[in-house]
Amino acid sequence: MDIEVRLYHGLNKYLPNGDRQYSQRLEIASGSTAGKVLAELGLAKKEGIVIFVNGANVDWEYVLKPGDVLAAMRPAGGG
Amino acid sequence: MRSGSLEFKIAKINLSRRSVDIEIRPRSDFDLYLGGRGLNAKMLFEGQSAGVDPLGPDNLLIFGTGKLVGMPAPTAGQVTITAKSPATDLYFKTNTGGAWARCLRRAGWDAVVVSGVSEAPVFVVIDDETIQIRDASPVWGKTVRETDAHIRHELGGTGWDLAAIGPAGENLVRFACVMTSLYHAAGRGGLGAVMGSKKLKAIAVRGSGETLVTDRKSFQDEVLAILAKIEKSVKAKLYVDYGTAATIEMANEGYSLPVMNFRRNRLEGGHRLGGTYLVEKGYMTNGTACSSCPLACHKFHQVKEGPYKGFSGGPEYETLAALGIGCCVTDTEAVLKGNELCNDLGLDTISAGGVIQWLLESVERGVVPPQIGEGLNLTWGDGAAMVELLKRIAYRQGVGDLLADGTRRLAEKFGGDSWKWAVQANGLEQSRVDTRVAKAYALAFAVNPRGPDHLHAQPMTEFARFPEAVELFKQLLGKEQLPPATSTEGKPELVRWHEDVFAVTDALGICSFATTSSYIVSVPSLCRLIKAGLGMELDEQQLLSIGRRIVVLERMFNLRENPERMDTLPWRLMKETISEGPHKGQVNSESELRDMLQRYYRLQGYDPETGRPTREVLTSLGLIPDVKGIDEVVAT
Repeated sequence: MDIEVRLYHGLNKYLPNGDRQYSQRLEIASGSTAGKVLAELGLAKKEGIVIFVNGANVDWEYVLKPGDVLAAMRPAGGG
Repeated sequence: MRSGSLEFKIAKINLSRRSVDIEIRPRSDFDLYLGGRGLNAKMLFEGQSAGVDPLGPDNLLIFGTGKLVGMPAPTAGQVTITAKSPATDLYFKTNTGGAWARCLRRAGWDAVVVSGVSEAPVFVVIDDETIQIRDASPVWGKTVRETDAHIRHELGGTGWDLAAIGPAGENLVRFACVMTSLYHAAGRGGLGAVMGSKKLKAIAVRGSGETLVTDRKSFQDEVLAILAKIEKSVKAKLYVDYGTAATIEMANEGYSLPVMNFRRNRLEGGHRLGGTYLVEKGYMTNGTACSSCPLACHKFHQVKEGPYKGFSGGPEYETLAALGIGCCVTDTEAVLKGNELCNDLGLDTISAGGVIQWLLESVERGVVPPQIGEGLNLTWGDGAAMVELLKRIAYRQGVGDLLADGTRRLAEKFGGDSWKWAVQANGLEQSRVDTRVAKAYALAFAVNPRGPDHLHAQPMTEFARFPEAVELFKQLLGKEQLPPATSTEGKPELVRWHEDVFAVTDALGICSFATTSSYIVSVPSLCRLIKAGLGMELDEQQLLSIGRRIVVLERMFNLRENPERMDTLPWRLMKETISEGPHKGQVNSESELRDMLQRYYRLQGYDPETGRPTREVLTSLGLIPDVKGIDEVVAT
């Protein structure tokens, strides 16, 4: 199934389409979790990464659906 | 060498009389208020009566540093500027870093209190013990950078730092800021206009002294412990890598970013204003740290060619969100030019973005005719119009003259329903946090004596997104299961703690990014710094009580000015629900806010209905009898 992945804060270097890009559409296996997709991109589960799916803050075990937008970044805040 | 005295040495400068007096304030002021923001609040309360014109001679303009400034305490480089605000007609404190505060402390002063109004433009020079008032007519009308260069050249030598205003302050723009070290803004509340009303262009300062710590070994141990925590902090690394601009991506992808005057929550292409893009495309470069700061979040930016070619400090999240995202401008270079102009002209970027968004929506809805822009395309997403409007605001030209008075006054002038999209409360434009998705922020904004913004309490714990925040949240709520940001559970407790800690942070001259944004410097750590640095033993509760004393005193100033002042939020956030994304339907309803307020009032010991601090609370905090005149403001 098809999803969109958006990565920021240096994590975007793990996108297959190369450095200094921020989003990419990916074909993934049905039933994949957010964590599995990120791990396959080379992003190991660790503290200090925040994940959103379609804008909702989720954990690594979240099961993705077709068309989902998965975004991962570091925990920013403050202005 | 100077010892860490717990008395305060204050320079009192009256510009009407062109006089300079020295006041030594007693150690008891330290015991009760620590200094900085705390002592400023006391001096403002006692130094002026209710109803003074914020732009008149009786409004005091106070620059106060904390006792840790000048010592090698991490992030201790802050100055708090306090006055009655021309935006809100209420109490205002604003805070900034750079090197100015450290220079003032090295010169041997804790605070500068400016009163009166000069007949002609002046600037003040503080060179260790010597204070002069000099002619500023050659720099009147100049930008902050031009002023800085001219005054440094005139004074000669090295080691100077300036707190200066730009044309916006001179022209009494109600959201003009004070800039220190060229690129650091004491941004909000229009205190640059207060400085302009006094015809005070700048305060240049340098100092040759050192401030000794009491217990060198213990102080060093604590500093090293803090540095070790910084080394491990994910949040600190993010500050170093991308500055606060990193928040754009997070808020955009989390649908919590205020877009189009708080009508939408995600902007396609918004990542072009995020820290990642700015760094990777070469716009944002490594910056500089404020005095004594290992976090080093401050950045520089450059545009190498084209119509927006330029260089300046920043940009911060709030600026990118206000001038860019909020106006739907994703042209990176236009937004960077907007930031540069605000730095140079001395404009608060948050309110500047707020008034521009109000104008765009008013034109869209037919309340304001598009011709008012005199050739500008006043539609969403036009970067060139945004840039031009900033200049017109600072120089009060055309529509800029109206925008310069802020959204509350704009709505009063243009009428209709335009007050509904003036996203302000008590005269201050809300900073770029959508409080409908973050209920601790909603309460913190409502009770903030400045108005709805994030610099009185920043309860970032409620998002629970990094280990230090999660740990604190659990500790404050006393439970493992944490409610989401959209829940009101436990939020009054969160706000109270953050208010107290923020006040102590400001009073010591520490940066709130260290204590309440990254949670790297804990309250026990502050106690240890105070003990080792200043020789005073305070436990955690005693320190938090000082913070609360400051918070309550600030509230009493506002009650004296306006007994009807409401703890409230902008109409739009209380009446219009979020329209998209996972938080669709969220709002800051009146009933929800009232419930949180009543719980907060009870925690604070205020009257649960009116929110007025009781005599018992004022007495227990020692504000009665310490603060002259406070007794008369207490409810009978």
